[in-house]
Amino acid sequence: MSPKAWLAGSAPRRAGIGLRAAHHGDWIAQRPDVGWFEIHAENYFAEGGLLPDILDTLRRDLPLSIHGVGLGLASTDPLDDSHLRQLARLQDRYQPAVVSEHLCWGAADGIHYNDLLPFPFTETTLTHVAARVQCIQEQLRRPILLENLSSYVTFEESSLGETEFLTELIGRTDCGLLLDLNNLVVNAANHGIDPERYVASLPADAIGEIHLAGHAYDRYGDRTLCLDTHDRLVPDRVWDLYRFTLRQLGAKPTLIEWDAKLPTLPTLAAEAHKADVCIAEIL
Amino acid sequence: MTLQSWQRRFAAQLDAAETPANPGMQVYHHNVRAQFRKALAMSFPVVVELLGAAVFNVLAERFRQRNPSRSGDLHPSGANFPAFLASEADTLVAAIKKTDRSLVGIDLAELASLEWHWQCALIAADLVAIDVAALSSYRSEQWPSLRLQLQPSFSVLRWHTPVVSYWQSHRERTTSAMATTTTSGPEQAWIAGTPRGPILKTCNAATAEWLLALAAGANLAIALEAVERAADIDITMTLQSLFRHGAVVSVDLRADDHA
Repeated sequence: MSPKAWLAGSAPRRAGIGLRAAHHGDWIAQRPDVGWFEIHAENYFAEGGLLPDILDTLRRDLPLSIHGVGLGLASTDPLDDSHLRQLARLQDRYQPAVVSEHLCWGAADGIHYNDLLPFPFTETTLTHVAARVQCIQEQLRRPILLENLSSYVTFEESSLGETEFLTELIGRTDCGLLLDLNNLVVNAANHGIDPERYVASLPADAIGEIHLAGHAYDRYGDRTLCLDTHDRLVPDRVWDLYRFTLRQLGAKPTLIEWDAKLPTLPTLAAEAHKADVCIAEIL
Repeated sequence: MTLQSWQRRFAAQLDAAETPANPGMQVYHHNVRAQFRKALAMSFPVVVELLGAAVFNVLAERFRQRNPSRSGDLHPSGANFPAFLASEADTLVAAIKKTDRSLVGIDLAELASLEWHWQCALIAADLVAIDVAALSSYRSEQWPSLRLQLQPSFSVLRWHTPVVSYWQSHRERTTSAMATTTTSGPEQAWIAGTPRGPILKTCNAATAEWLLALAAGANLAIALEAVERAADIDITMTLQSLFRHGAVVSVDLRADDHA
């Protein structure tokens, strides 16, 4: 399906890559053959200068996904109106095919931790998050996708399973899900979850995008933890889970996420091409 | 326990100076500091180079403790860093003495101030700039009465040390050698965000005074009266530079000026 079909509201069936500042010049010069591109919203809140022109130029040729990292959906602090206004302004100017955020919290008593912090899955948190998602969707006048987190801790307070929580949240708010498969592999290593079972238990129609990325292992205290680093090639385990997911859910727009130790743009495009091949295999 | 209480308890572990016992919490404890440090380093690359990563990292954490992030977007978190460096001047000098580096006659807080203004100019709202040809619609005898509307982010900056020379040396170098400057003494510059990107131009002290008055809304002649050593200003060159670099967004002649 062409990028324009996605813009018209149809499901995209190609892979995209993230636009990072270090690659701005290469994007303009090389125009990589990818289906779409994604930006981190907060990196493009600029009101002027060169960034809006760069985005305008790339957006003319490719569909865009805006991925937020800072709204703190599950925080109990009030939603940051200024942040939300800037997100809305970005959306209105660039008309993205998708707007997404993380299912996390990030601030308490006005202090922001600027990390994707997990929380227990309970009826109380479900009610809280659902209200916040509805508020954001009303302000953006569109459904958003929520991304499942990688995490390094679990909580005895959780009374719902993660997929149960997500399914209920989707039902209450009509939001969609951005399924990060690398996060599932990270959580499998850290908490012993079963990624395939997780994928199979999700409502397939609600999944609007898939993320693929790399991870690493490091020692913390007396444990070796799997870290969601986004700093290397997508590992085989994630590709295997991706093929399984495509067979389960059908073709979905898929992003190669790479945020640290950035490779060349052609390397990123090659990873996206690999994802496109996987999509083609199930079509 | 309410969700708010639960988040406060989690946050207390992130805030604690000591590393949490739980290995997973250690990851978050580390990430919060690393993310903040990384964002700050991106805003102040020349300060980082001058200090070295080890000294900068210690300072960045001390700064974070006193000025924690107040936004889901980390970019604004460096706003108070220049003032923080000014308040830490004695500590900095002592820390630098223990390394193989020197501050090469640069006031670090002033350098940070320049870098922060540059960061702000990179993303500042801007207006369509006009060409110098706009002046031709006025008779030459009207020119002293003209007022220039400059880009919204236009600022005039004055420093006691040669931070602009040092900063430009850092930006223009083609090797990994440390930036240097052979100049000394005060420096002045004007800076603005424009549709073509940020622009920074050095100027002499008299020109800086004149530009400050222009930016405050005075017409060309009245602004000149405010300058002690007006003879040091090359008016033609300064105006050409402002227009050429996209700093001027409109020119107008008000009735009271006209009269």
